Amino acid sequence: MPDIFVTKTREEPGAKAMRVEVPLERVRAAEDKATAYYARRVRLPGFRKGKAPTAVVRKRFQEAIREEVIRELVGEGWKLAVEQEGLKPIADPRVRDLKFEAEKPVTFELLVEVKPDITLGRLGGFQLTRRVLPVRDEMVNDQIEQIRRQRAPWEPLSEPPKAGDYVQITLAIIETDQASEPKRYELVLGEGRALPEVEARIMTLKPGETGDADVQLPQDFPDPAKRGQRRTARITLHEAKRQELPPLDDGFAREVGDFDSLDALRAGARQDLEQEAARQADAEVRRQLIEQIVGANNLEAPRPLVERLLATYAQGYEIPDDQLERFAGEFRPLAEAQVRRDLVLDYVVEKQKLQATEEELDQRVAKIAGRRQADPGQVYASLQKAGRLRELERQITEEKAFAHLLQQSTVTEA
Amino acid sequence: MPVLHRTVVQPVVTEKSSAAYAARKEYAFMADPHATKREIKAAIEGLFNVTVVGIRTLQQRSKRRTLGRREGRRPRWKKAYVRLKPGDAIQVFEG
Repeated sequence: MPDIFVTKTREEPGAKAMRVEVPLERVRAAEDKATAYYARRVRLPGFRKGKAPTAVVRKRFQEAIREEVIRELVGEGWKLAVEQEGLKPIADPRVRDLKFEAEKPVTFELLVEVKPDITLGRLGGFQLTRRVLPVRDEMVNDQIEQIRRQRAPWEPLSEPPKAGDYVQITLAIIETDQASEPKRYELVLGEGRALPEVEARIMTLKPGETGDADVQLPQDFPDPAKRGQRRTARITLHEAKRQELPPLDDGFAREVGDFDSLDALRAGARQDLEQEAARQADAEVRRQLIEQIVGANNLEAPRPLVERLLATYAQGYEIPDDQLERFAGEFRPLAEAQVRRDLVLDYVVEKQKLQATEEELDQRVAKIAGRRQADPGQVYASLQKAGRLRELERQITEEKAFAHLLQQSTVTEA
Repeated sequence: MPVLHRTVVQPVVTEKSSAAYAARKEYAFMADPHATKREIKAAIEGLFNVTVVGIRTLQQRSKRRTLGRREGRRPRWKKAYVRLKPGDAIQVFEG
């Protein structure tokens, strides 16, 4: 049987287009195959199952057979194209300009995004700085203060509230002696959520009291005509609450978690912050490394790959169609950086065969299971179910790739 | 005489009729039960622009059919097998 012809029509880094021509004989064979498939299976009135003559089947199932033929031929063409051109596709191809006429060869164009062939000549010898931000006492205190605030109960007040207190008010604007419909607001004073004049007035009221304040309507007031004008606001304070911070002592530490004393809690918080700082420092070193590799090798992010990633982002953020352009403009640098990073890592992983192994994955799962005090098998299953295994695998692979790359460069601690 | 497409209602496409076509190049048609062979022949020649060289007809009897508890009958009809002049064809069984 004559061969399918595949000719490359266009190429740019990251994408290829190929023209495929399927000779008539092949088309006929595919048609016969599809017809036979239907002839065997369908039940037509007047015929027992599978007994309808092919001519009748062909006529009745014209459309379905046509589709089947196209699918078959595109599949065959694609397979051949991958083989012949040595493609490394990263997605399914798109079909364009499909021509399928009776008694003529079928032609179509395949467009596909491919992994670009890159060579990175220089991967090492870079100077990188690792700067771990020191954890200062204030930071530890801030952290503990935050925990304290999260755990503090709100107690009702009977005196006028102060900044930091939570209040419930109703507010009405008085228009020429007539008050508008009062609206209800809840806010924490001192956070700039209400007009300064209003906040100041609230702080003079006891819960249950009502008072008037002279205000200038803000520039974002709903009615444009009244913006900037002066009005009287009638404020009623319904409820005020103040947070009673728990005393900072060993008892508090015990309540927060597995800590015996306040010092232990402090040490724990410090350790968390230090770990976080180290993580950030490592991430920064990695970013520097990728940047330098990219710079040293003049690596460009291929446009098709960037477009593809942008489309994925847009889908993830559910960007409406009319904002796509603006979104793409904003996120393009980010997508380009991501594409370059992936290209570098993929290159290293492939060259050095650093792909995470099944064993390493198992070990990592066991580690996670140990931390959660769960059965590794169960953790594995739940990760698999959530589709997170590939993510984990990629993570291990990237760690290995970075470990390999960092060996070849100098990291100076700053 | 009824109009042409009342005389000859529709081709009969079944396993049996396609076997007749395969073996003897005979086409089967459903026809008005009162139509004569001459009428059917004229109708087919008029409708498909072909020459009929042989025609055999038979009566398909009415059959009892029940639909739930209701009983009814399917109408009787006439089946006609026609042979055409060599070279003529009607697009029924061919692709």
